[in-house]
Amino acid sequence: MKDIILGVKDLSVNYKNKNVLAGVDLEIEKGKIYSIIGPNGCGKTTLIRAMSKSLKPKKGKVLLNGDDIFEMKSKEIAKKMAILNQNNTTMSDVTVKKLVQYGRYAHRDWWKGLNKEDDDITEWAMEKTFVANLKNRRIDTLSGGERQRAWLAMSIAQKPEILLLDEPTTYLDICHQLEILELVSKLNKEEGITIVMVLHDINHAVRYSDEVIVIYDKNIYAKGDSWSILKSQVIEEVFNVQTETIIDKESNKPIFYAKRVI
Amino acid sequence: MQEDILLRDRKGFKIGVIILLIIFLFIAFLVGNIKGTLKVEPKRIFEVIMTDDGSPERMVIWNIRLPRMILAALVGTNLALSGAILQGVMKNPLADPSIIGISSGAGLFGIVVLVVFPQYIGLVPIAAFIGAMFAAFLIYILSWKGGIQTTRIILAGVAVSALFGAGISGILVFYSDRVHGALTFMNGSLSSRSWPEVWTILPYTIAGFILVNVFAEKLNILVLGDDVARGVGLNVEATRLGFTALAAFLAASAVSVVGLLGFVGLIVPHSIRLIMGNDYKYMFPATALLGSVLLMFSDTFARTFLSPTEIPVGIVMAVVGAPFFLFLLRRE
Amino acid sequence: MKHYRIILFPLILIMMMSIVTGCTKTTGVGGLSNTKSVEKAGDNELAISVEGTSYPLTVKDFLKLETVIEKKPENAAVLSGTPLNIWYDLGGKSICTSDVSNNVKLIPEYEDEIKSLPSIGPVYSIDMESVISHQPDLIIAQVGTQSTQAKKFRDMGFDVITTHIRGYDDVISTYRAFGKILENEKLAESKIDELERKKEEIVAKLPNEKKSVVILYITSKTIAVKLDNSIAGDVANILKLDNIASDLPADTIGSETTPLDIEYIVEKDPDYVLVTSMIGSNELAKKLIEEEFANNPAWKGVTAIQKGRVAHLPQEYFLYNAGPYYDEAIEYMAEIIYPEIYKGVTQ
Repeated sequence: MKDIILGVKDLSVNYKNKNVLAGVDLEIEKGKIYSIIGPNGCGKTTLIRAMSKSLKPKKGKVLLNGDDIFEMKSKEIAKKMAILNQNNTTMSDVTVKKLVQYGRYAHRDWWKGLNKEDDDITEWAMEKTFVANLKNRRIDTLSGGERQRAWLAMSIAQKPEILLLDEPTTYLDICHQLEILELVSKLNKEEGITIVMVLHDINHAVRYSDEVIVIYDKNIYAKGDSWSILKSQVIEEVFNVQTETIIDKESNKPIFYAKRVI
Repeated sequence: MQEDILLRDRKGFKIGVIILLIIFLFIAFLVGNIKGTLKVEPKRIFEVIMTDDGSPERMVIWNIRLPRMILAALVGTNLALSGAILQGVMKNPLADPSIIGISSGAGLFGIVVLVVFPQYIGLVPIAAFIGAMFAAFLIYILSWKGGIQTTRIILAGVAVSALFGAGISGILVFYSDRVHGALTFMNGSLSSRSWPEVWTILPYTIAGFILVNVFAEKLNILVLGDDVARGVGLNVEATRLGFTALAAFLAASAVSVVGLLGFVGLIVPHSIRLIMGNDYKYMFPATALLGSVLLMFSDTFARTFLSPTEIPVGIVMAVVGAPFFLFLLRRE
Repeated sequence: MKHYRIILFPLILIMMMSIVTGCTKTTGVGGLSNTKSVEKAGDNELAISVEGTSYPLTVKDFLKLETVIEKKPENAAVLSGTPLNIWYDLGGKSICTSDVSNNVKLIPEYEDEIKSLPSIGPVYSIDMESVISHQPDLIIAQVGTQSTQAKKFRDMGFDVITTHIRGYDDVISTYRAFGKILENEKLAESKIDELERKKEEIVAKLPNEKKSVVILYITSKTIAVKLDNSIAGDVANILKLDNIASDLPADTIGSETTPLDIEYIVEKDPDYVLVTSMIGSNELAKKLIEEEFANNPAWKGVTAIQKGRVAHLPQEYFLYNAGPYYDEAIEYMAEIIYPEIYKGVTQ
């Protein structure tokens, strides 16, 4: 019996009067890591924004543990679901510690201050993401990788059951990219947090996920583990490149090398 | 190795700045009561405030200088807080109630009541509030493009300000014999203001000050970004609306008593930000204090510099504010 | 979506504000005040009157406020030009006054004395502290420009009289009132008789024909037309001239001007066009109005302008009430209209 934490039912989303997604159905199982990939403009960011209530769909529902998120208050959702956005530019000059503390907002009554539990969780979140030594630094003075980890710390301070990430690696150097992905993987294994992330690198998706979801032509084109992606020649059809597959012995997962344009 | 907290971010430092500002507040208050055409000894000030001995000093202090200083403090607080809120809620450092037309909206609606329904003069502050909210509403609509575009906010604001400003000028010209005091209104002035104006604005200042500080944390989260704020659990729309309403409320009440006074909402929050950063929990009280201090000193200067003529304090603020505004523009 | 919550917050704010507004006593918006809502003496009432034959006297002024003066003032502060003139003419002194324009015709006898009085600022923006520092026992302020300050002085406990000296009758009633206050009624009555006599003299020489006039009013902002309740209108009325603007509505209640309508003037075709001004100097006013007539073709339809029957009314008689010299103002206009009959005043 599958334990579905997030369900997308018949979702259609428009963006600037253009129909971007039509009739998407998706079930996210608890405890797994999912990656959403697809060519630019295919709607993967749109999908994850709809799943996090940042966008209102034209039709369809998003159910968090069975409840329609568009009927719920943001605070209720935030206790269970967190989101890490792609581009976090802000006027704010908060310190890392203060930023992570904001992650506790949903769990507090706003007129009350932080209690011991909140402080402990804040510390825990910063330790987990290796930003504890930066706690008094202002976020606008951090490097790209450090900043992304700080935002991640804030998200996990929410103690979510499910974490959505919208292209968390896009603006980072290679080493920081791996850093984040390793971190996310660790969080999944150690804390049991369900992960859904939009990635632009196929190989990252394949290596770090249990299942890969390919978005193409306004809907889910393929969904499955890395081997089923390999079998269905999905990459050639969706990305228009001919690939050669190599097996990574360490993780026992395929690596796709793009050879030529079709 | 843990890095040390910057001085600016230390809680102790912020509190220290606030205490310093409170001291300045008292100094500004004293200076305002000492300076003027009639010479009054500092000692006498407290004597005549406490007892009514019928002396000219009592008359001047109690009826002219004291209420004026209090009014300057209240108006300074309102306008500075309004600016601080707008800069956060509209995500633009150039937002201030006079630049983006919220003050003009308040002024226009207030004047319409004054001219067309003078028997309902008590409703002026409410009309001003509605005008301010209407202006804010227009600004949001004009700058909406799939979300609030911060660069468009200022453009929209300038347009709204021009629109309402034209409306005000039109009424003042058309009804020029019916309304008295147009020049000082357009620039903002505390001339001849006394206790009635103090009682008019006081409840708004108190309510506004309390509310902004109670909800400060929400604004802190809002400025992190709409998506982030929503993700963390904040009701973004309600927070934005609530704070906009507060900003309108504060600006409208100020306009109702002193006219269109600009630049306070721009200079003060930025100065505080430069000193102690963006945390609204400390920024709001500090901004309120600095706004009061600034306006008190400016008004004393405006009142005494060219004695016996009074300069409208709005002109003093413009002289100080315009270069500051240009300096800000260059930094962006 | 709980939409009602969004409306709730501003609604609470508005409710709070309604409760609060009950306690407010302001009369304006940021300093703007509506002049219409202030009580004033009507056209048929005296601008100022004094009850009683000797002190204490009760003064009823233009704003219909009654002030009881216990004894003759030793330190009066008369804050504007025309009442100042009349006050000094009846032997009174002032301890300070506002800046007096050079276009006000002061009584030569007291001119130097008046000009050396300490200034309390321009007439439209007096420094209240300055007035208080002279410790006056009576303040005589001008309605309109000094109304707000007058009210504040009154609230502080000073004896305040607000004057409004527009036309001939106002001059007379002010003389009478000041005469009582200064315990110089005999002198006041003689001055009044003198003014009356001179006026009758002028009026007696009026021919039977009735001439019509339009009185233009040029300021730095605009050109308007004066009604009967202006100084020029009052003088025209005394001279039995027909002011073609008599029936036009004032631009606001209590105002003495009506907006300019050139077509109306063309239609009524007055015999004379008289021009008053509130602008830097008489010369400047003359220049500006000539430019206006030359540049704006609409004026070509007005015969008086084409025939050169245009005259400028100087500010010392027609912008500022000439007070003691009101008869000269009457004579001035008489000479313009009927030069054959009246001679001598215009220079």
